[in-house]
Amino acid sequence: MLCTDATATLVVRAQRGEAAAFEALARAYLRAAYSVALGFVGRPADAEDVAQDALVQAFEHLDSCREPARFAGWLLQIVRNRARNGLASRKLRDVPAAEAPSDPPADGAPPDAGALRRELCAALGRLGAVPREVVLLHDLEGWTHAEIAAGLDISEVMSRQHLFVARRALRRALDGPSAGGEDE
Amino acid sequence: MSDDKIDLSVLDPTHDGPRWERLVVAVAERGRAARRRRLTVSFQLVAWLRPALAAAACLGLLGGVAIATSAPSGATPTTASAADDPAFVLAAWAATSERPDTAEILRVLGASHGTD
Repeated sequence: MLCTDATATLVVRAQRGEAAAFEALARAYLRAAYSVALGFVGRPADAEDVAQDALVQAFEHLDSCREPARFAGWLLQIVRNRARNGLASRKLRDVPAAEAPSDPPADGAPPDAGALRRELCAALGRLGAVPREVVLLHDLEGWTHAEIAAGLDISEVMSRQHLFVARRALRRALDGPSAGGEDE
Repeated sequence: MSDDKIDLSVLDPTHDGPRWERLVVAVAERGRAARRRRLTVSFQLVAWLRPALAAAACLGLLGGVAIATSAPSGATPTTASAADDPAFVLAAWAATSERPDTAEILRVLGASHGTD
């Protein structure tokens, strides 16, 4: 993730219409948008769609971003809104994530990556919204607690707490029911 | 134990680097195009809004003035012209059995002639 000053500069440049600034912002924030979207929609392919659409929407309405230094938080709110809308329309189509066909494994991923991915997505789906976003942004996207605190509008202490809770819940889910009693 | 990072790499969409790079470029381009389009429409709306409002205000003002000035002056001639209408005068004579003198008959009929 870019520091707030660099982000603010890029946002201002993008507001002036500089193509390179749009690309730099997309490179810096598309994966974060994907991480948050994944926490909502639970399916990598859908999360990619939501992240792309949210970023395009953010660029389109970039003038509404009144505090360029807080672009990350503003963008993630757009992602959440789009993800909720995406979930609503998927429910209308009656295609639950768990029953949907798995995505093809990405290049370089192990052969059983599809099963692991489904397992992880299911475990993430059982977390609360904020712990889920925190663990995805921290362990997948590599954000620091300070960055997560700024992006999610929570304190750093809360970010650490959510991460701890989320990791413990994920481990329990991934290790199976027998591992559940270890931490208690 | 919960302090250890969870390995979420199977969920990482950047595994396929070139594909992700294409995605980033495409999103940036789509966003820039959408913003450009939006700004164009917005600017056109703003550019047209003020003159359109000014024109509407002028028309409203002129309409109001026209109604205010034409209404009182229009009523008087209608009443006056009705009183000078030969048919109206003749009908009034017939209804009241009034006997006008010759000069008056000539004036009414002459006026009728003159207006034609």
